[in-house]
Amino acid sequence: MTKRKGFTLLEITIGMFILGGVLVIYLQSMQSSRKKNEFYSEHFIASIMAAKVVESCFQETDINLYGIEALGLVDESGSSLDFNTPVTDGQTVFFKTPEITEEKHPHLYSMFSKDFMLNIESEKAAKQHFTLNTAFAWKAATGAGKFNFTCNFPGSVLRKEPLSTFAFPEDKLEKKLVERFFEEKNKNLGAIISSPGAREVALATGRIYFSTSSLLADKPFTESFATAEKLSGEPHAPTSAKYYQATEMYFNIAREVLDLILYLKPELERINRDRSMIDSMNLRNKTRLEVFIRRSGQALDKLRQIFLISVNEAASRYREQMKYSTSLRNQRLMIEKCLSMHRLMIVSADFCDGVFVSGDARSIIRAEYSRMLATTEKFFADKDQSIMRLAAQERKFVQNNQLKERYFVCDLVFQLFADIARLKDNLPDPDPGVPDPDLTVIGQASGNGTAVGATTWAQDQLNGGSGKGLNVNNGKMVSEDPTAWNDWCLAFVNTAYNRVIPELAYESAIESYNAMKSAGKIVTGNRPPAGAIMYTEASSTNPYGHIFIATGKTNENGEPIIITSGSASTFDGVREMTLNQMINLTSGRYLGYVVPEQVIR
Amino acid sequence: MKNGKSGYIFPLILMATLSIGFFTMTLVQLQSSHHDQLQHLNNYQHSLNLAYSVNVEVLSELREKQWEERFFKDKPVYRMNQKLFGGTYDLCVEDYDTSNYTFNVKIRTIVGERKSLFYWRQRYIPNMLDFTRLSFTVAFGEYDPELFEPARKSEIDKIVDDKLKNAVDNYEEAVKIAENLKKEPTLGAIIEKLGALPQGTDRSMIKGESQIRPSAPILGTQASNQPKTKVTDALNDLTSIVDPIDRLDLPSTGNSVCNSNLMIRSEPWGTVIGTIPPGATCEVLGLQGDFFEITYSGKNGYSHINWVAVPGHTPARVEPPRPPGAPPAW
Repeated sequence: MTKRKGFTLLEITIGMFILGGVLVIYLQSMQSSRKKNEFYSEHFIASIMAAKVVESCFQETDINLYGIEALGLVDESGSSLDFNTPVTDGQTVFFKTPEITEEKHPHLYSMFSKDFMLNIESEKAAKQHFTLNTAFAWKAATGAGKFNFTCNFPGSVLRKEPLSTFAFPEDKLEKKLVERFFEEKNKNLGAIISSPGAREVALATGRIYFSTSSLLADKPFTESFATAEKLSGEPHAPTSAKYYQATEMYFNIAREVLDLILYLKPELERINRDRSMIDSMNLRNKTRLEVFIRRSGQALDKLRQIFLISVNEAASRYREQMKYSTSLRNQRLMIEKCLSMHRLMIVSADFCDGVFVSGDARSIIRAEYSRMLATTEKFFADKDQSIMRLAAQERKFVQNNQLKERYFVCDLVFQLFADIARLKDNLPDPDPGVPDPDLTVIGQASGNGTAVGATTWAQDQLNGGSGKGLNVNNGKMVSEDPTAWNDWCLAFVNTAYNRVIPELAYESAIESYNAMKSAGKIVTGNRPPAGAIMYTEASSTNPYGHIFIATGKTNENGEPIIITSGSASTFDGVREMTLNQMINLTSGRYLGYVVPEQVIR
Repeated sequence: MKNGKSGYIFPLILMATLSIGFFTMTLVQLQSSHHDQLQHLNNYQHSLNLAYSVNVEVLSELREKQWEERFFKDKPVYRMNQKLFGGTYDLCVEDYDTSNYTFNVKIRTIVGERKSLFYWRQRYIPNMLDFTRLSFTVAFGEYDPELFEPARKSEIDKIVDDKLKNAVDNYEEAVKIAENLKKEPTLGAIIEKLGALPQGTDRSMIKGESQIRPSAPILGTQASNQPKTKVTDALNDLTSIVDPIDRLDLPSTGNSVCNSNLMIRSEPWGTVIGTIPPGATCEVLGLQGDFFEITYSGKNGYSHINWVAVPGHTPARVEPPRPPGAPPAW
């Protein structure tokens, strides 16, 4: 019995073994739990950090089409750049404000110093957006730690097509063109213009002219011009609703006009390219079409001016609104709009005729843009890094002349304004002294007694015109007989003036000249106005002298261009030529001209 | 007694073992709970990223074609059970109000056990002047995933409509409140004004309350002082280029302003087929050259624009120049 006073060795051994086993399990659990807790903590922080990176990318791409590039994740061509970086001490753009430093965040710093690396892989998807895989990797106590998010972000390619509310309906265009341009009814355009190329030029002209008409017929839109100007002339604070209203009105004017002129860009290109194709049209229709080509060109130029005035005004007003805005969200919105307006002004700097009252447009535009970027960078330096990056990127684009390449509308606008300038330089009737033709005399037997009527009627007798002018002396017209006016130069000019000038009722051109000279009406000069009655003297081969009509136009050397009837010894019909060519043909000295307004009774 | 003493050891060991076992199990449970919470949080972020990514893909697809050729024109587009970035989603894209270019994007994501429904109402920006932005988010929110079902379309749209309407209705009041709050000198004053101070505290207990709020810094941009051409002057120039008659909105109602009977012709300057009495009203159908195409008393013909008034056109009331031999317009 005395043997049973204590525990046997076996009992104690078994007990200690069980207790030891349980303790080992417990300690292992504790160790594992500590590691896991540490890992979860690191994992949690990594997920928060990854979310912050994703949010930064979102903020960047929200304001900047080239945001992924500005962050340094892709190069100019959109190819992925190697982005593998520690996150402490401002070593990456994503953790610069605030920086994770030992002084400011000692706990985070010690954790992120353990080979905590941010790695971002970018891939440009087929649909022009970027797929970013944002991964954090670190040396965790349990082994390698890793956490990642994959997310898509908008890409840099953004193209739209103009969608103008003022576009003239295509289904009504041809009918309207036939009726309005050519004053015909129930005819196809093909029956009026046989050349397909010329027909397309006419349709292009119609689209420009009638779409501009639609814009002008929109009363609420045209009235908004005056309202915007009135509001901007009043002393409203930049934070007031009325200030905002005026800004939006200028923006809307620019928006509508831009959509219209970009919609019309292909038409403008066609006119520039194919205008010579209308030379094959008959004079009446060609003249009518040229009138509308001229108006269309002038209208486009005015739309350019309206657009640039409005864009410049909107840019200035957005700057003011940005200045007084106290919300970052609103400031970001204003910056986006402001930059877009300035970009358009920069690329249009060579086409700002009529936008500023004085000063050099290029200098003004560049100075305002630079000032805006500088003040924006200064203001947002410690507030919003995405705006800082945007401003820096913008400077680079401007310095490298990349705005047109980067923003498709900037390129379109530049091309458009260059096309408008080209058309403006080549509009029909380049001499400002030449009046619009008087279309009522086209196809008539005689002119209507006015200088413009005489010029237009004479042009209508040229090859390609109607040739319906009637020589009452022989009952002929050139459309039927090319010799109708041969040796009837005085009758030709007298018919052009519908026989309203007594000095033209003589037997010969030289007698008419003498009558004019006696009345002191002869001017000796080389710039006769349109319709001027011109004379050359009698010669041994032509004892009657010669009389013809000035068109008011000159050739590239400044020589007057005239219209003259032919003769049996020179040519049949009626021709347009320079005064020198005329003198060479008749061998008679040039005597001078008469200003029609002085002799028309 | 001897027998009683010898029975203590095993129960003690057993109790210690059980205690440690329970403690370990609790620890494991706690860890599992942490893991679940973390997973839940990650799944939510993953769902949001997934939905945002799908929306980016939708916008990419939209920008590939023009608005008039959008892939969801006329009928909603459903794409079910799609895989992306380790998650699954159902997508619905549909027109909402085509006159306003608005459309809805509904994305139901399934990540792990979590189902979420994200809803974007967006407005396409068709104009070229907004050349850095394709669309604008009108409303965004997370809703009950069951609302994705086509049968419940009107339900979710109504919720969003109501939210937007509330925002519009309350806008002025919100602006007023914000303006009033701006006048408060300290953060504590603002919290107090909003009624957000916890019970039993006063604003002096708020950290930093004594500090005066700094006024908002001002961006140093400058208004342009360059004299500029007036936009109305440019508009007047443009107006002078286009004939007034081409700015008319036809067909329209017109009146003869001629003091005698105005002729209706078979064609411009053609034979006279009828007349319109002074002041009579006619239908103006179109324009051909200098003549209106009109209908009066069942007769279709042409009358000169100088004698017919229509909205936007004041007739010249003068006899127009006419081709030789043609009778006068009136």
